[in-house]
Amino acid sequence: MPIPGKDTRYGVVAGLTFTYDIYKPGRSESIRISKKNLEKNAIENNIKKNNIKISVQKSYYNYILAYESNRLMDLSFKRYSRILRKITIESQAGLVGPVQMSDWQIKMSSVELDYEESVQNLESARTDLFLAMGLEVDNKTSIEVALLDSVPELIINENQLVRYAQDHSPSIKMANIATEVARNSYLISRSKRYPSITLFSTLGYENSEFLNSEMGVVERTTDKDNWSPSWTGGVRASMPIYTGGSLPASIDKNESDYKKTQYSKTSTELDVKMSVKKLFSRLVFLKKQIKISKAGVINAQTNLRINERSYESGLVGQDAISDASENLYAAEISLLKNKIDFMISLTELSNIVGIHEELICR
Amino acid sequence: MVNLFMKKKIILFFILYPVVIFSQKSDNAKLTLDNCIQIAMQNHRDLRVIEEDDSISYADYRISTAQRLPSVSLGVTTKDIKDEGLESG
Repeated sequence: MPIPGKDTRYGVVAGLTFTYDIYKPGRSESIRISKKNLEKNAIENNIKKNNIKISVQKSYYNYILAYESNRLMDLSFKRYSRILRKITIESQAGLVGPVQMSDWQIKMSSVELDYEESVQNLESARTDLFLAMGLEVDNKTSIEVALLDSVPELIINENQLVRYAQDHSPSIKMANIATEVARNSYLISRSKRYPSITLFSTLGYENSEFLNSEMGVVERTTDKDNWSPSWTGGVRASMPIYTGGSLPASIDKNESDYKKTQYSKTSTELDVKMSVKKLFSRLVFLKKQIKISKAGVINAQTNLRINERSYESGLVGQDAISDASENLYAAEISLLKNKIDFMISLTELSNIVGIHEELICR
Repeated sequence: MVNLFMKKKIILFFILYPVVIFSQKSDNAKLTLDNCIQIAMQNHRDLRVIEEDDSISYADYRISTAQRLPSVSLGVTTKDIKDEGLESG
């Protein structure tokens, strides 16, 4: 048996090497994982886009709520200012006592505080909306205040939504992909036990005098006679015999990962189902709340009208009108809050189920 | 000469008219919810991350499908040669 370096000389081969894996265990699984990751990425992107949409929607509705609260607080503030001016004149004329005057001053301070807070809330809601849009706050751009005259009607039942969610929910789709990826990773780790077969071929030039110490470095490298065409090729098969235990450990790890994704998939399905049921019952509840709030607004309007007439007839004082106005504002804000809550819950439900809002409500 | 100057003014008017109208419109326009969502979909920084994630996953896919194809490389390797010039392995 020749001893390398003693019985043989080291030469050098320069050329092109062509390699092709005729059989590589786990190759198909690895490609399948990449395809699944592409799908997963598309779903994740969709979820991110929907999150941006929800964030803008929430900020927009919060802005509307802040705008409307500010408008009503402004009206309230102006009304109290008028009343206080009138009471001050009456107090100076001796028609109103100091206790009543002091009461109105306290009420005025409270209303002023609420008004200033509503101005601050409006500014803050505007900033949040611009941030949600990914823009710098700009004082020139105005925002349309659409007060949600009506909210759409539910056209689907809870069971139908749960069924839709099974097929379309992004969270369930992601869980399915994660399971599929983990299964293929497990198959890849198992396939590493099997041999791989590679076809290889090198075509180039060989220099057998490369380490010939009798020749100069330049001579043995550049002399054309030292170089001759060379071709090497063949089929190589290899398989692991001993890996220090890393291969079975890797198989065990991937098997556990696969089982984990299966458990996680089951809990995701359950979570989605629960979220759908919760949001659906919230929509039903909010529909009722809106109906009650609407009736509350009508009652508060009637109450204000009656109090105004009674005040003109001298039956009630300024206090009664102020209270009636406050009740009306509170009822209007409550109605708007319920409508906004309904629209946000609808968007959340649509995102969880993975279908368009128009398929849930119209 | 005057006619040429007038012609230029008319052409300039027609070129700039839509720009002026658009800028006036955008100054007065109020953003609706749909407008806000559209703006967010064009400006949000997270969308840049989404684009990069797309590129990464597509590159990963190309890397794994390339396993099916042969590879060709240029290289230099040492070789054990018998004194007679016959290859020993």
